[in-house]
Amino acid sequence: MYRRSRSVLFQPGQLAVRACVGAFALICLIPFIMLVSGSLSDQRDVLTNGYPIWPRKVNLLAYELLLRNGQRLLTGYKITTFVTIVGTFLSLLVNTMMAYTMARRNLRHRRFLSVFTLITMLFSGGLVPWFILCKNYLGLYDNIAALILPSLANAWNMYIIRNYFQSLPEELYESAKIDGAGDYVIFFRIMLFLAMPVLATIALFTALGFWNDWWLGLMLLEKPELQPLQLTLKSMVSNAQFIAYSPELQKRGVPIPSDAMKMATTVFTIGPIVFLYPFLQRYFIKGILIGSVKG
Amino acid sequence: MKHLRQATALMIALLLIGGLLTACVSPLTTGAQAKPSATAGPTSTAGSTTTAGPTSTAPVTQTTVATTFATTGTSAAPLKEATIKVYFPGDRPAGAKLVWDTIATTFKKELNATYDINWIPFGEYVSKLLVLSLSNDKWDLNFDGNWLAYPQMANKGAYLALNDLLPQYAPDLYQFYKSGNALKAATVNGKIICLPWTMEMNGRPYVYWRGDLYKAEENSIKTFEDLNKMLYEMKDKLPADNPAFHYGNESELLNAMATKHELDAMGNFHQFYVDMNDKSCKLIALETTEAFKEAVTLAKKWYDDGIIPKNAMTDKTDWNAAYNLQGKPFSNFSSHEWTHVNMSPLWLENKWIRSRSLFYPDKKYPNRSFLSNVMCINKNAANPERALMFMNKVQTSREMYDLIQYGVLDKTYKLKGEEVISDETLPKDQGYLGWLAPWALWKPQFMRPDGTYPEGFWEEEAKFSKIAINVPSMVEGLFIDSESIKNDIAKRDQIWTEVAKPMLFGLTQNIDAEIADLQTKLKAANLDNVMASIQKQIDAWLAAGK
Repeated sequence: MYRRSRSVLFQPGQLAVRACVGAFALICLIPFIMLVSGSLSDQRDVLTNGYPIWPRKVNLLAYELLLRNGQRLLTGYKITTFVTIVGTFLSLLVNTMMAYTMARRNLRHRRFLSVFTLITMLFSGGLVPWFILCKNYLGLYDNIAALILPSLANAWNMYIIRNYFQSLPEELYESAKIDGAGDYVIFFRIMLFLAMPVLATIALFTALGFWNDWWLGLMLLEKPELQPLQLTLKSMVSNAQFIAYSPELQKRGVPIPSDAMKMATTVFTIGPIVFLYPFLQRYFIKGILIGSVKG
Repeated sequence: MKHLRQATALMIALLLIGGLLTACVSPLTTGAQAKPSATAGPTSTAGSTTTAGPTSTAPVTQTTVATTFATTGTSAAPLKEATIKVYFPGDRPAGAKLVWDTIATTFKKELNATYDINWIPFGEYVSKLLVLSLSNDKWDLNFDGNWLAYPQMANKGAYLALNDLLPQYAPDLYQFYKSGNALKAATVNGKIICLPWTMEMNGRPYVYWRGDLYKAEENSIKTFEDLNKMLYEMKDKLPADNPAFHYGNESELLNAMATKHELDAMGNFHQFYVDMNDKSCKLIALETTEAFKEAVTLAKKWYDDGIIPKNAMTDKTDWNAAYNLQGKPFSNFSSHEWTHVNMSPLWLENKWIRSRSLFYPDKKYPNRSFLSNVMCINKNAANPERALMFMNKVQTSREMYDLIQYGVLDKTYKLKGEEVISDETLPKDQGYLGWLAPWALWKPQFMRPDGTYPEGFWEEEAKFSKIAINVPSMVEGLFIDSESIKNDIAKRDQIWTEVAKPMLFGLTQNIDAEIADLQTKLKAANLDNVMASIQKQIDAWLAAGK
């Protein structure tokens, strides 16, 4: 592996570049530091002095208040984790099968399928028809399936995976056919493994999507025991923003969560993703160009 | 075997297509998402009633409503168990299950109902309620207000007509309504479509200031001239982080200016006003009035001279917390309610003095609308009669009222005499006090003093609403059907937010030119058509004899 000599590493130009990049990285880190610091600050300090880099007086009240509703957070974590794992797996399965089908050159109506998929990216029936379909016809209301099924099929991801499959040599398929493999065997035993890079990337984006989703919970859930984590944060922020528009509501003792409370809730909800990100970073980078046109 | 594989492949393809149909999702559509307007909040004063009514759906007739018991309302036959489903805006309190299960158990004999109580975040309340209504969901009761979803829901005919059911299943509530003007406000096109709150209040402007910093008699700051004299005197004596004056919402300044000019805001209806001395209720667009120009001129003067903070328009500071914890700002607009509530302990500890003055005490001001906070019954409600019986019980039973408002004694609140208190001995995981949006269920005859409202507070509020200068709104009982002009109104609101709002925070260079520009833009947004439509409804309502 090529390694730069020490003399190159300490050249002024290299040092300058490293210093700039390091400074930029630190600047990007500041909001996260302020987030944690804000969650540990006293509300009066925040009102008087703004958000600190380091809390002037460490105060765990926000976390204490949050953990009083600890059961709600724990339930939210369980639901979100379950939905993310199951949803990612099923979404990958559905999208990959459709993408493979669209990539097969010998499929008679693949153009129709491609256009049909494209149309779903351009148009939609609207909010009310979607809601009626989910609630009244598909039974996707107030159950865990409502958090998973509506998001399974994603046309964008299908196209990315399809493009990857199209970049694989057709000879692979032909030689497998000659050896007597059927379509299922070719797909599950050959193509899926060859598509691991793109599947890893899509899995990552899909998992992030499920983890961050609050929309499905807001529209399709009522039971508090099924509320995902992000919906808890979204509810808090939404209520606070609405109340902030109305001095009357503020005065009427409608409690706006303190800034520390909002920060503490954010720490809870983004914590796992932030800790996992360093391990998954290379897949993000690889995934940016995956599925693009290859020469 | 080959045919079986083909059949399986076809089935999977059909399932995928079905899945794609489900996946035809667009995220929040901006059309359905109602952003709170600059004047949102339960301060509106106009009522609603009999002009054009709901247009898009056929009203439910009484015969289609399910009945579950004898028509006497006191039921000779035992009641079948029913679940009453209710929606409130806000966040679910931790103790909600305990409280509502206790209500179900306590009133099992009289109501035999269980309660499915749901909270929807404020920001999404309007859009979700509209979606539920359009999808014919069968919820029973929901909170609403003329500052929230009520105008849209009423326009769409989403609420059940209660003309026959109300006297039968909520007779006490009905008699109470009949003794005042509440029913008129709740009537649209001859149909009673909501249960208004029963509070009597007036939100006319007061000025509050820190009396320990500026000595002046109570009720001595009656005009903008008096206010300016105080503010300019104090401006340079205050620390940099304590503004001389603050208003978080431009509607506060407009409210005060409208008081000076005796303009009725018609329940904060898209910056349209009527003159309180004009019996013909000729509609006035605010941007064409002397009051608006005066407000803009004053805001600019305050901005330039540092009376209000430069970032007042975009400031996200929690000023309620700043008031309670730091005694800031020095002065602002307030109301009779908020200048008479208990002061927070820090105020007493620091010997801060809350001084107040009734602003323009010689000018008329409309009382708060009956529709400020209402409970409504869904037109597709599964148990409308039981919902009405429940509402009747809230009107008549202190026990029911205490449970709903405060929760379970010694579990979610304690009593110190008659006062509601909370202390460390209460279970930490059963928080309930201060739950959001109980206001439509407030009953002055049962309200207990608490940390905010002292003993006898609500009687004083009711008395204040009856003094000579506090009068019913000019349009009390008028409901404006805005369905046909909703796009033009949306444009008007957008222009108002983009152009007029900064002006009302002092961000102007040339007042006359910018007001003229605003008027031109609003006129180009079909203003004449909008005003003609609304005036027609006002005239028809007046002709019908109110």
